[in-house]
Amino acid sequence: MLTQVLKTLAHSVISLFLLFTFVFFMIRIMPGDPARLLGGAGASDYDVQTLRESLGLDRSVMEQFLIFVRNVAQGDFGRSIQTGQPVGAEILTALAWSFSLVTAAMLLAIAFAVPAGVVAAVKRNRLPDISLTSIAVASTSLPAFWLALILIEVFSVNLRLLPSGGTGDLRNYILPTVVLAATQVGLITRMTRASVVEVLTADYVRTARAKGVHPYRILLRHVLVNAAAPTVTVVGLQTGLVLAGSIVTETIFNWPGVGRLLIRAVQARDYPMIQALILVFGVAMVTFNLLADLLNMLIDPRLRKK
Amino acid sequence: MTNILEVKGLTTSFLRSGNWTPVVHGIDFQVKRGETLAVVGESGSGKSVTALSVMRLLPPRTSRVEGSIKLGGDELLDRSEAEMRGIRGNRVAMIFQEPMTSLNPLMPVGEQIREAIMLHRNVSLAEAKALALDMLDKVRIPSAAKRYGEIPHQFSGGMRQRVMIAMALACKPELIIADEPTTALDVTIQAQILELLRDLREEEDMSVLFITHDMGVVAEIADRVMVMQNGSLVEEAEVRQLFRAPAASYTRTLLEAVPVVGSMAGKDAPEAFKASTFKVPPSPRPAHDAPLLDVKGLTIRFDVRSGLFERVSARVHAVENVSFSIGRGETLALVGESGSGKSTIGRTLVGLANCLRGEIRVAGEKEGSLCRTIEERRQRVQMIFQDPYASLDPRLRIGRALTEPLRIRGVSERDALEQAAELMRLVRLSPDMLKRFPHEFSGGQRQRICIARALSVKPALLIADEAVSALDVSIKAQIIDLMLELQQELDLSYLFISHDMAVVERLSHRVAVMYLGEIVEMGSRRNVFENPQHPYTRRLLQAVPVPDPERRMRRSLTVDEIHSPIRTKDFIPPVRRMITVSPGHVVQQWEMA
Amino acid sequence: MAFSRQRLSALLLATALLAAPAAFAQEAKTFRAVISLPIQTLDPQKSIAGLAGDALRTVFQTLTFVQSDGSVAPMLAQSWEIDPNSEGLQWIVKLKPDVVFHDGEPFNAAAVAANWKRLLDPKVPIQARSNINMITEVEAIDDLTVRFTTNRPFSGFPMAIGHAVSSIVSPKSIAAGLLDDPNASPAGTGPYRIARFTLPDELEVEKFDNYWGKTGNAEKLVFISRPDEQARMAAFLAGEADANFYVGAESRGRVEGSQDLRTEAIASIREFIVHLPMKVDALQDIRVRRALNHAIDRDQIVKSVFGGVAEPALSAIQPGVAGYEKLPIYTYDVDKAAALLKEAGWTKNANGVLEKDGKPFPTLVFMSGRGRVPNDARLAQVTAAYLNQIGIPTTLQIDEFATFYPAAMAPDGRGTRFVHMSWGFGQMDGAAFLCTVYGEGRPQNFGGYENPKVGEACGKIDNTFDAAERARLIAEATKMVYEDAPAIFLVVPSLLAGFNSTVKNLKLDAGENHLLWEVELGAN
Repeated sequence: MLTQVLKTLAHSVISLFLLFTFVFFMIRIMPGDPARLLGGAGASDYDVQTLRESLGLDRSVMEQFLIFVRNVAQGDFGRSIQTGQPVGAEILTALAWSFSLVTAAMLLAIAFAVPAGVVAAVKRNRLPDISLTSIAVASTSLPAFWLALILIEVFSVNLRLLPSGGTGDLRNYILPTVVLAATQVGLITRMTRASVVEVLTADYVRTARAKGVHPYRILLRHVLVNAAAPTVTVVGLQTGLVLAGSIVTETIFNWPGVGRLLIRAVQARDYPMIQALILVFGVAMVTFNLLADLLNMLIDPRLRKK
Repeated sequence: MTNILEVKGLTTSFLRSGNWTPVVHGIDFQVKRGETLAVVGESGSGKSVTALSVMRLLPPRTSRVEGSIKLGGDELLDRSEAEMRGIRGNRVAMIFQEPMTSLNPLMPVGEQIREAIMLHRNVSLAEAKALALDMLDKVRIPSAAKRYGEIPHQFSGGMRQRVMIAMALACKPELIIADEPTTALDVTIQAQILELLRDLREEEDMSVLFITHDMGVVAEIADRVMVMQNGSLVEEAEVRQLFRAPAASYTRTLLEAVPVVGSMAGKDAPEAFKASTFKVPPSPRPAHDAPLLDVKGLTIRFDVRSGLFERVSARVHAVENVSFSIGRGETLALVGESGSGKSTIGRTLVGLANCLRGEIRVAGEKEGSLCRTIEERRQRVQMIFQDPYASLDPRLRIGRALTEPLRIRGVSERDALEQAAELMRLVRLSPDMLKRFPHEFSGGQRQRICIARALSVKPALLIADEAVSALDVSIKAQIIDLMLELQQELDLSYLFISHDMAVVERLSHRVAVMYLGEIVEMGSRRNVFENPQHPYTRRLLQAVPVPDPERRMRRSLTVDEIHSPIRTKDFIPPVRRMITVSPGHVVQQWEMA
Repeated sequence: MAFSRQRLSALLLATALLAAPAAFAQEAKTFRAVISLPIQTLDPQKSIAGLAGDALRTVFQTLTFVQSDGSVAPMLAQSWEIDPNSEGLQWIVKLKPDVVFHDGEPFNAAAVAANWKRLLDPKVPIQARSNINMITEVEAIDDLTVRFTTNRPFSGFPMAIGHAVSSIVSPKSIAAGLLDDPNASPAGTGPYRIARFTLPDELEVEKFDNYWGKTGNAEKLVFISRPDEQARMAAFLAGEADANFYVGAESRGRVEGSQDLRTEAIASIREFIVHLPMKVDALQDIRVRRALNHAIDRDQIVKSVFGGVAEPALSAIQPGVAGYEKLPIYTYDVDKAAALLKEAGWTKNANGVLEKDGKPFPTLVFMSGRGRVPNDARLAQVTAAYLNQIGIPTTLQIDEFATFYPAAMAPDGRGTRFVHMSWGFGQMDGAAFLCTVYGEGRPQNFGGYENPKVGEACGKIDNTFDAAERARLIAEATKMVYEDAPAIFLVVPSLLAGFNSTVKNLKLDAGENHLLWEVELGAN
């Protein structure tokens, strides 16, 4: 099992390096000049050139790459072109915010979606299934920004119960958590439903019924464990994706997370920030997938190879 | 004798597109104490539905069970679902067909037995565990205590079926319903399980309702037999009576269609079930001397990789130094049990698997290819598989499926259609059916279509991998007859891969017996069947249930497993020596045990 | 299911409990504003971002202060004058006495010199340096007198030292590197000191007791960055902010419809213009250029594109600066445009495209950024439609700003494509716009407009140290450029701010130098 984990990690390091190299060169091909953008409207060509030199952008791309790889190896991701602050520190702060939000959202989504998926599967093609599945799919199909604006309008502007955005105390979590969770509920419900439906028709469930096991016990002891793997995998995958991809939610709620950081960085062509963020996103994807795999191995001994 | 189970006027209907369609039509039967009643019938006869009706395991929303089912005098159809839960697993238990999927894959086997015990017996956890261990011992699972905590994945198919039996017996039920309990097992394992069931029945005084399609198994195990067809009872009789003098014509047809090992004794040529349709009877020997296919020293291994750098940690010696040849118009049967490598050889010949060493030469090729599939051979060697449904694209009309191989080879649309119609006639189907989709055909028709598709490129050799194994006996006989006819008409050669000794005996000229990747015995069909040399060949032939209750015999109750062809990385296969028994009959030298 | 009903009620209960404390009750005398740009830095010399920089003006001050009418008032400087013996190259600035920084350091000539040492150090990346790069040397003559030397006569000097880039920071903060540390509190001389900063979202400043001047009654000012227009509006409507810089036109009705809220508008220092590609033969004809300017219905654009939150551009430079005057020459008149084009030899062919001597008008690439300032892309589309109407074929090329801007700057394509741009200069000086955007060879002169008279005029303006005369010269040169039409002058967007009724005495400024520190907070 350990070798499997190590193998996955080794593969991941290679793919991350490739991803990273790709991104490094791609963003430099992308039109736009950070020095020009930083310089602003009044900057003369001379000013821009000075800026470029101070940012190290006057060197050849290959040179920049080698310097960057060397620095990253030493744990130095450089400084943000926009703020002049060390990229690592800014990302860590943002990551903490994103991570706490995503964790809350995924927990909320699971709390709704897994029971909903199970109930839908058990009562499949009947009213509870149709209504739960519709709710789940609808909540995911709603554009996040639209749902966010509706919730803000109701809970912040009209009722003044919850803050419209930003961070502060736990109340600030509620709306963005709900919006983010809504985007995930559909997938997790459908995945849970599908795997429970599949397991429900499994021969060993029939065996359990032939033994005289109570339906609830069948669900708990025989079905759920066996149906867990796809849901665990999808939650792991989505956690990684959402961590990087909750740009809309983070923007509307002014949540100081990594998604918003990426948007700002791209707009300013903040190369060091973009590079580091992509790397962080890659690491997050790998980590959450690995965690999901580990969890699955924990649940299912068959996945542990000798 | 008292009746444990008394069924009267059992009618089971399913809700199909809004209508209640009966699938079992008012049948009556009884199972007496200590008796084994076999229910036989082909697919769709309603025998499994009958079993599930008794258990009341059919989905209540889409099924309806009427009549009367009395278990020990208690009417089951009046019971609530909760009361039924107290009866299932307790007073009536069930053993299912698929040991590989019928156990919860994530629950230790001991727990699964313990769960059944604790549901119905008021015992402590420790007592239940002790009882479960006893049951594992009772079904002869070696070192049961150690295996109690293992998950089904760590058990072989036969061992899993033993666990299923232990679970069914755990609460000492009055009635056991066994639904095709040995169908998915290899023949030697089947023999062991049947033996176990017979022993347990005596030890426990069980009453068994035994559902099967296999007349051989019926003859081995049943006291009484009821024959079902299309949801109705055709005949019910004592087992000897039924085999000796079947009353119903359907029973007679069924028994006639059953290939019986040994029934070909003294005959050289293959024989059709309905010999009358043949213009010329099959010849005992191939028409030509030059071999069509020559395989020399074929070796196929798969690496088992693990570890950080996917290093090879072990190897599957799937096929080891195998040589054989097939003449024109000849049928060579490859027989063996799962893991023997017989299918791998077939797949390699059509390029679906790669070999490590060896030479494959098809007549007409300039030179033999060293483990490569040359494009030309694709056309001359075709393959048909066990599952005809899975081999056809469900969204493609049959016409398309048949013309596609031709169109790829540049035949025009019109010519291809014409040829497709001709192919349909060849496999005795109407060309009008070309417009239909695969699901509109029965299993036997689908297999005919697969054969037609294989024949569309005019191959010289057809590889049939368990091509009739999944079919009902009567259909099986028809397909075998068709294959024999086609061989006559088209001078085809067959490589017939099968585990079914009776079918093999029927249609092959020569037989090669495979065990753990090697041919242990090869010779003319008559020699191998009538004068088997290798202990494995003998064991294999002995294990085949004979559809004759008069010849029922007790076998020693072993718990042998089929060995695995997985070897360590540094394993060097021993050099084997073949002994010639008689001309054309060779056997691998074996060590005396 | 019973269990889901339980969960729902638990959730509702939790919501109610959390909401119970009156969380949004205003603390005493705190002014909260949502602003539209992220606060990227606490360094006022590096901040160029509109109101984000403006927030810092409550903390850091400049020597002079350019007022809404374009006139220059003293701030940290008491007076400034050109040294008559320096051939217009040296300025003597007298500083205000008894001013202290928030960290207790005295404000004096040495402090000013220390700041300029940093500003003139090419190694320090100061983005807006072009506004002050004519200053070459700054020396302390005595404790309260500083001498500035410029590399050429530069009459815009009093405005340059009022630009945000010239903010004065405590030398101690500079030496300690506090300007680069988002967790530090660099000290200025302003009425408020930094209390709390969360990069890039929130800046809280609190009243500085030893401030030398007058302030309003707010104890604290909180600036909350909400770049998303709707999120900003939501926070404002939810009562989380007293002011909203800025309100989008579509939300105007919503704010004005509320009893407690109001909007105020002021013309901005931005002007949307389309640089005409002067290298294109057809556009070298002034009649064609003027025709293009007559082809645009500016009033309609103000109404339909900007929702009324803009005014037609009636000059070559932005309003509110010295030298600005309205020149309503280019009225919307399609007939006149057609007449001018006909005079120049261009008539519409059967396809509705202009043609001269059988050759069609060249199709011009119309470049625009998207999302940099509100309505930029939409304005480009509408303008292109007006041009198509009179028979000028165009291809729209609208890109994200980061892509568009460097492409527009690229010297190789200069003067061959329409470039649509919104210009605004933090320096409240008409000469800055005039000489930068229309000056020959200047990087911002996207159209490649070459008029030696502009250069001449700019040199003369820089050499004219009398404010009134200087303004007259700017106006004269501006009129000349306007009439020469090297661009299509479109609209001047307005700044629309929203306030709740507690906010009083907040003076808006076209250059976004809103006098935030004078705000008075009253009862509702």
